[in-house]
Amino acid sequence: MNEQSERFRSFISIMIAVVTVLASITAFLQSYASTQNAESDGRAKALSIEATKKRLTGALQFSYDWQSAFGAWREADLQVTSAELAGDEPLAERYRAVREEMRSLSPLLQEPYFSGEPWTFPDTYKYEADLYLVEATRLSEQFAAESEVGNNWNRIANAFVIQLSLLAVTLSLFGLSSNMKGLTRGLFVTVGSGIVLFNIGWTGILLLLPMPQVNMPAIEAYAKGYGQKYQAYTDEGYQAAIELFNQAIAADPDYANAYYERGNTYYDLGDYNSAIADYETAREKGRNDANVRWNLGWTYYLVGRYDDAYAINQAQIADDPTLVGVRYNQALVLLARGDMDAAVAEYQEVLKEAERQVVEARNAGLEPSAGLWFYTDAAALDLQNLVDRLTGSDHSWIEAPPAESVLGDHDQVIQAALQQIKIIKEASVALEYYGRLPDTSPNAGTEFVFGHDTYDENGNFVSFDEYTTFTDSPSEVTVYFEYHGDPPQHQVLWKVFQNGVENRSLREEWEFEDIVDGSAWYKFIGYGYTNVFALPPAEYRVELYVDYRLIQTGTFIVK
Amino acid sequence: MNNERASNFASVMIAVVTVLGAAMACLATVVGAQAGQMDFDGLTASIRGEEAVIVNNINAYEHKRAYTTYYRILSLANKLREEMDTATNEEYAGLLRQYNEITAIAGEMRHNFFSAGYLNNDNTYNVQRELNEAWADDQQTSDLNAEKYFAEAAGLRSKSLYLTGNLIVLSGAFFFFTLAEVIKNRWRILFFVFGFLALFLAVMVYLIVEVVS
Repeated sequence: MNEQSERFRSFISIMIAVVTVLASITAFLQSYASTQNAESDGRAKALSIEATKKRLTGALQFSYDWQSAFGAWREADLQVTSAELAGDEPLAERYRAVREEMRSLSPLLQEPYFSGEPWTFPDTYKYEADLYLVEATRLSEQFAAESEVGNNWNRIANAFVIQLSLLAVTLSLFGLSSNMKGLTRGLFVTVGSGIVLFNIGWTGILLLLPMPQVNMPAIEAYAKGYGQKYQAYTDEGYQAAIELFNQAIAADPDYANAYYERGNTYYDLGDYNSAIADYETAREKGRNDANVRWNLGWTYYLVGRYDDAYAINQAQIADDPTLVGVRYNQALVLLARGDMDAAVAEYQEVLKEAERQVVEARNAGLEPSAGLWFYTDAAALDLQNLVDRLTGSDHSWIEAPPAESVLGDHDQVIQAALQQIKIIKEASVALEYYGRLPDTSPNAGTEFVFGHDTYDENGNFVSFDEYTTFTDSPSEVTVYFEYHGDPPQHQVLWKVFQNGVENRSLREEWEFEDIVDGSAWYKFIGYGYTNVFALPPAEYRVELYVDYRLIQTGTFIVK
Repeated sequence: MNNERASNFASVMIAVVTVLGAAMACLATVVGAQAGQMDFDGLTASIRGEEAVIVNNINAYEHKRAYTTYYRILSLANKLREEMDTATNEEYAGLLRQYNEITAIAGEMRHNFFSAGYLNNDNTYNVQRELNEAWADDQQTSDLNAEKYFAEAAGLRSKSLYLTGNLIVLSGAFFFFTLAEVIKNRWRILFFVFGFLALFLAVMVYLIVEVVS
């Protein structure tokens, strides 16, 4: 027995020594991992601050380049036109010289960003991309990559801390076992030995697992791709961006951001199926934020995959029901799917949410997100696009699914859509100016007649000639209307939409005290206050709101 | 229970307390590391937030600068309009040319250099509305709330502190169980009791810390 006891004590002593060695190795590895974590965090912090600095200095510089430098050039450009129209050639020549001088104020006003031709604008997107966007994007991506490296080292350091704790327990078990006999002793030794073997295996796994790296070639290609996409407006430009994102993905096949941005580029090209594939891959690679889900849901809608669109929109709404843009899209999906009642109910809920956000913000002395107005207007435009697609009135700006993919009775869908367009537009005006959804229905109506006033050489009115299409580059168009109904109580508002998007500079609130039943009015749409501007070729839709209710719309075309 | 079995039992309890102590120490360390990570995330959100504020101010006051030009020109245009109403035929043409020129510039400012949406009815510029809307936009699209991270970090650090403090209670249990193993007389029972009490207290403290955090 004594010999057996002696052998056991020797074995325990050896095991204690082994555990001590293991503990010292583990302590060293834990310290190394902590150091790596600290270094990565330090680099990440520096990169974050560098990226912020780049963006801020870039924004400040661009602010001067656009507002002051280009503003001065543009002012001189308008003065040239004005002088030419007045027939004063010497004055026009002087202004041309001033205009040319202004180009020296900023690189934005020189090649390759600007040709200096009259009535043109510089390529601000290319300028911003070159000035700071690509560099700031590179720094931001590097920051994200360093953070990921740091997080990984942190996880490894924590794992070694757990191992040290387990080795301390093992030492205790071995120590106690020397005072024990029988099964208890055996149990302590077995458990202790098991912990040692487990620790050795775990350490091996931790050391052999691949570590995330800061993949600079991938980041460089991504940053360039991002800048290229930002400035692209032709198919060639978008293709060049896709090629750069391809390079980023080739260098790092798990680069979620690269898949996402390549998906956005395919979307801009109109290749919706490739966009969907990339958005789905981005999600698989770990990027599952609101932007990806939102874009994926919208693109599913555009190709007619309504069930997929519904599922992904629903997942996003569950996470954040305040994103009205996604909720409008969901209502649209329901409508396209033929779920008329559900669509109407969803639109009602979204408008209530919009009202809640407006009331909450303004009660706090703040404003709701600018996106709320943008997405409310977009919701009406999306419905109009769906109607236009179903009725075959194709415009170049339409984004809507194929008509044959829309389920249910198309006539019913069109009627429901037109009804919702009016409700949404009225809600937008009422929320912006009144702070609440409209609760009154004015008894009012009118009819629009578009045309031109004609004057004689003495400036006396001769006639009003009716047109719906204008071909002579008008500076303004006249809307004649007779008002019928109760006098306005709160507001008379005009909105003008150019190819589907509101031209905010043409929005106008009217004085309404003189507006009574049967009164006739002329409204001028355009830039008649000067002879320099003309209405650009487009389809114009004019909307009249009385007390936040849309009482009439009319359309004219400038060719 | 005879002495040998009591000693064995005490040894087992010492092992149990050792394991619990190691687990507590491990948890305290990990929670402390998480607090550090929260601090880092809070700093990142803080930097993002300040960047958003600065960029929004740059943009808003850039627009207001354009509005200032617009306002100046509009004032001049109104003066010209007044003069045109009483001008002679010879004067009228020159005034009209000036009027057309400067109203074109005013229109350009309004169309391309600031948003007419932020003009109030009295033709003043609502820069605060523009700033508020932009900030609300940023809050919706980016993580700018640094406070939640710092608050969570503070909570985690408190938790780490309490877990580390709980080691003192566990060490008390360790002490009493050791005494129970070594001492062979009736006092051993008392030390077992104190040991279990200390162990129970340590477990309660841990559960309270977990629930509260």
